[in-house]
Amino acid sequence: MNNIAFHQITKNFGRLRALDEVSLTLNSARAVLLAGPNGAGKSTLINILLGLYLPDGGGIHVDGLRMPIDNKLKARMGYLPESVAFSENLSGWAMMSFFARARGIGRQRMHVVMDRIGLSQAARRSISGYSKGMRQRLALGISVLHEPEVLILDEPTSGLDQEGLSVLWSVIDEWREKGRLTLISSHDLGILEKRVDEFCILRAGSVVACDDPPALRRQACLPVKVRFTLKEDSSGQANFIEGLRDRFQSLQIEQNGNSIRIELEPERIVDLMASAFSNGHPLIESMRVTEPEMEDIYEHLLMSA
Amino acid sequence: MMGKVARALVWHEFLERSRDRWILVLTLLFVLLSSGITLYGKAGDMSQGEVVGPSLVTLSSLLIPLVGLLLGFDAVVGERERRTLNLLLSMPIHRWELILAKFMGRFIPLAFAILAGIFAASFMMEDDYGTGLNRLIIPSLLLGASFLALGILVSSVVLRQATASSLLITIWFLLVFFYDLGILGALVVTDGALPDSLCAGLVVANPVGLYRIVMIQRFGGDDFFSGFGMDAYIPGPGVEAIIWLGWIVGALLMSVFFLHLKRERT
Repeated sequence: MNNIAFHQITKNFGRLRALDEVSLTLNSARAVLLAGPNGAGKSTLINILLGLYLPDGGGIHVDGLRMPIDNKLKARMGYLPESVAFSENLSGWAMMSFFARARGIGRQRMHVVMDRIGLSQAARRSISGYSKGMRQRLALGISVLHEPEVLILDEPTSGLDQEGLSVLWSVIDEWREKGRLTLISSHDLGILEKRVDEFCILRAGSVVACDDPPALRRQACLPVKVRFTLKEDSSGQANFIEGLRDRFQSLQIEQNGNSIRIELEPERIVDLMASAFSNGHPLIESMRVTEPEMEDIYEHLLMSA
Repeated sequence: MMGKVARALVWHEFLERSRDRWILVLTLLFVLLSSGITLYGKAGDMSQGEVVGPSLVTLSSLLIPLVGLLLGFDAVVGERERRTLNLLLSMPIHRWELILAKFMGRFIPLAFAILAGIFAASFMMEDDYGTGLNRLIIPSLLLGASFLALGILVSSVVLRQATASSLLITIWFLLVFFYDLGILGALVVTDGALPDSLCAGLVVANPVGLYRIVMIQRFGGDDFFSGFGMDAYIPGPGVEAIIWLGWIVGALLMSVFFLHLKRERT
């Protein structure tokens, strides 16, 4: 499978239009994050991909061919639902055994997965004794048990401790390396920013933006923050700031003791560097450039949509 | 032919239900009560067959519907509340397979509970009478299956387990206690104007009523109802099978329908 495309998907719940002609192409060997506020249509889109909802319009295309979500296609997908609560009567091993039997997976693979999610020691214990993180790790293990080509993770970071997060990152990396697709729906943008290749931002059933982080940064065009720490020299500092103000008329400069904070458009940063280092380089002790956080870009794109 | 996921689900359901404390308690209760009835029958002056058989029928018609409903009521809504329903349906399984697998997996512990109760009673009776109790087995299993299917139907319709459990109790009271009283009330109100065929039809349309009629016939003999001039209204084996199948298959088909409907509405 090279790609899965949502082609003009529309879904209504009564009068509410949950998805409005959404078109998205998800390529393999990538981890794609679906982001958006509650009610944006993320879960509806995932449920349509899983065959849980039928779209009112549009369809799913796999490698360019329109395909129904039938059992053949479902067998190629793995799903981690949000806040899943398995039966407390059974042990983790018994629960995984059910999914293994259902997928035709042998015990050897089950042991490998149990080891990977760090539940080998607790495998025979009742799920009622598992912590929230352990339950989430079990659910993650179940979703990857059959090594699906498409892995769909709904709020995967919810309840995960550091150990669980490490497992999650390793799964996302492995799926990318093996040329498989990972589709994640989450509100944890900050935590996932560096782990995914693509962000798709939805709002009120429409796609606001869908691209890799550098392209979204360019699209949002949010100011970059530059912070200079200067040596103590009050007249030199005044000259330095004056020089920058002359060169960049509209520049916002905030001074706090020996520290100067500047916000400017990304395309002007090279000019700022050139000017700063030509005018006041003996004064500059250190410099730090901070790009806008993905959460800021997300907020900006949502608001400007 | 059921797929791999459905077959795994049957076993999983059986495993999970057989560890349910409520089911174990009710099974034990059924075994103790049926044994108690048998011991009581042995102690009395009357023939064991006269006391034990009808008493066991009364006990079964109360307990089996309750166990059936209890086993079925969370089949779908429980998965929905635990958010595992979508996980199940995201696997290669048809909705009808899911309902059928739930039914089959939960029917095994139900059948075990029923057989345990009947065999416990048979074991304590003298040989001739004990084997006579085997006549209870198939109608009891069908009664249990009807109420299990009804429980699964309730579970597919509602969105909360609490609603399902309230409905379970209501249905149990309605079909086990108040149904016959309702017919009796209708007869009183209409001053007996209701035709006998209608009354008999209404009685056997209820699985509990059908179970009682069938068991009375089996313990009392084929001529039992002719003494009351009612033999014309007693369903033959064909009609009996249709009524049982109607309850079981009908409820399961409706469950599949509601599961499909919720896909569109959720």
